[in-house]
Amino acid sequence: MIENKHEPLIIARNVTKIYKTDKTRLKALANVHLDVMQGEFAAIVGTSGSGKSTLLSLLAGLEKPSAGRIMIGGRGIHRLNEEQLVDFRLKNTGFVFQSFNLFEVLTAQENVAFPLMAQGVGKAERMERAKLILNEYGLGRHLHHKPNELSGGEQQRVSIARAIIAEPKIIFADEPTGNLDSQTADIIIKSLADINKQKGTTILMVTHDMERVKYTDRIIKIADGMISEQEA
Amino acid sequence: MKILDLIKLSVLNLYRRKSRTALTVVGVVIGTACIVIMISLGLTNLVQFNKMLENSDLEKIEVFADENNGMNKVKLNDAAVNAFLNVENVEYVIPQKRITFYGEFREYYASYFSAIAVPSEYLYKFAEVEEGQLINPDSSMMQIVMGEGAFSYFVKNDDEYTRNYTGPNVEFLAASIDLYLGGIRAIENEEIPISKLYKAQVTGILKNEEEEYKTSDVYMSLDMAQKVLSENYKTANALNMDINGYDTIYVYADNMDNVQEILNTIRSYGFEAYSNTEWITELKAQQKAQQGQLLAIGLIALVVSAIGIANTMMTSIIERKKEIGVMKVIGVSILKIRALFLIESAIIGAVGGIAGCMLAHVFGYVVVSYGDAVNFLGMYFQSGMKFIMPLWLDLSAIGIAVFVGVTAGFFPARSATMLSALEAVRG
Repeated sequence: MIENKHEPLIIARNVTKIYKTDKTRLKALANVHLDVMQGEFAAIVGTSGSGKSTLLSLLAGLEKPSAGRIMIGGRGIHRLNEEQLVDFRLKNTGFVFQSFNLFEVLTAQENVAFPLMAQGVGKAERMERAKLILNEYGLGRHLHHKPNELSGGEQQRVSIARAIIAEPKIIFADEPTGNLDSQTADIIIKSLADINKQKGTTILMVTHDMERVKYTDRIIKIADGMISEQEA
Repeated sequence: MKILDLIKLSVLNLYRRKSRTALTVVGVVIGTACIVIMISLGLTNLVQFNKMLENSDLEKIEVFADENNGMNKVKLNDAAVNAFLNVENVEYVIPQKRITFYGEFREYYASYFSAIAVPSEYLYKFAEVEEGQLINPDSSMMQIVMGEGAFSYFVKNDDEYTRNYTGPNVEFLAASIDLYLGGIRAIENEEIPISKLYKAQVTGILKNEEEEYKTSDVYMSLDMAQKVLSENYKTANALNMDINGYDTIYVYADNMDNVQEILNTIRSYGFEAYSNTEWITELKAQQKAQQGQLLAIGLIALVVSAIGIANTMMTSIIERKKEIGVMKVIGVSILKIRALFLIESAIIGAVGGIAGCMLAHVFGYVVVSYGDAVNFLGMYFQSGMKFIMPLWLDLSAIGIAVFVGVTAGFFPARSATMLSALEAVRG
């Protein structure tokens, strides 16, 4: 992967996504062109049904575009098969979700260590790394707590810790503050911004929280499946 | 992801749903126990059946003169022997007759001392000696072999003929016994001429087939019996003994499969003939049907528990849609996610299988009925229901339970990985 802040890390060209059902065809995205720079913190905003989540899942390789190309670090991810995509995500991306989505059966520490477990890292090493990150996030007291014993903000911080533990190039965040009160939401966005600044991790975040987009480098507005406006 | 991590994750997931997991396991336990008990019963029955087969000469046909067939009186004689020898697929024919003597041995006497006369070359088919040896066919002397049970024919006075009497405490092997044709009746009845005296040498003592029951058979050579009868034909005629006839003729087929045809031919000559093969064929079919029934009962139980496992896994997958989505998004491969679910269902199968085997053993231990004859599902257990449960049965039952678990988990596991990741995450 190219490690240069002025080079685009994600390039989308003519990306179109059409959802077909038995009776209807829904064009969710139409001819989207987008470059996301290395180390950039970008927000995708738009109303519900505007296509912002579709764009995120295409860029993250969770879905395939109906037409167009998506290059990440020079690699055409629209051409990868399911197994290759899984491997690509494992090595290059981290995810933060709106509803945290931690594994209920695992402790906070085990949840954070999960991506390393998926990579086959040994237990001692991954648990140590998870402990370090959780301490950094002020969650050292909660290492052995299950998700249902944590508050929403704590759960989202555990989930951010999980997203960064494998040191991904890109973090995709899908409405990360949607389920949080405004004070906690601030803390979460700030910690994402810190990661972006300190580690240089590229972050692409879908949100409708216009109050907190001020922390981002760029706002990409999307409406009716097209990018309507971009402001830095 | 390492296999140990996968297993740990599976165990955690099963543990989270303790009560549902336990209920599913109970289903497998019952299914496995059912299969083990049913197969064990079948095995017990089969072993008993095979033991019976071993003890039955399957190529042997017993031929009698049909006493009810007055119109067409047939006789068991040398002509009959030759006729049987000419029947296709007959290997050899052994005639046999019973001959009765009055016996004296030291201070003891036997009112009726009855011997079975068979051709000496075939004697080994009927008699096996424990001590001494079989008759020497070339000897001009009368030789006999006898079972321990026959000792009790000899008494000092008639009062000794009681149930518990086991005979005089003297050595019979190599002894010489004085014999007169015809039994006490021929001695006491003055109108019947007394036969020549024969000194019979006891060359061997017979082996007892069962420890409890001492055989009272006495064997001598057919040639010697014929010689006695022809030398004393007056006595024999007075006693209505058939000098040239036989009591039974044994016909041996070259192969068990030809027995039925030979039986039919012999019967068509007017003789009464009988073979173990006839009822054994019937029993075999019955045995097969019983084994089938047992297997069917066991399989039904197993299928029901398989449905239980599939149902549990399906419910679990619906509940964990989100979790599966997250794993996919994070980058856990489809194969690993499938493996996770398969391991879960395999664990249910394995735990249920092991517990089921233990339950079956406990059942076998408690329910076993020693000694008493038991009828169960049309199977007759001569000496009580015993459960034969070899290790291979346990191992294969556990193997089957795991296999059922994996199979029942296969489709749920497949559908788990078909879910669209992002849709699953959003719920």
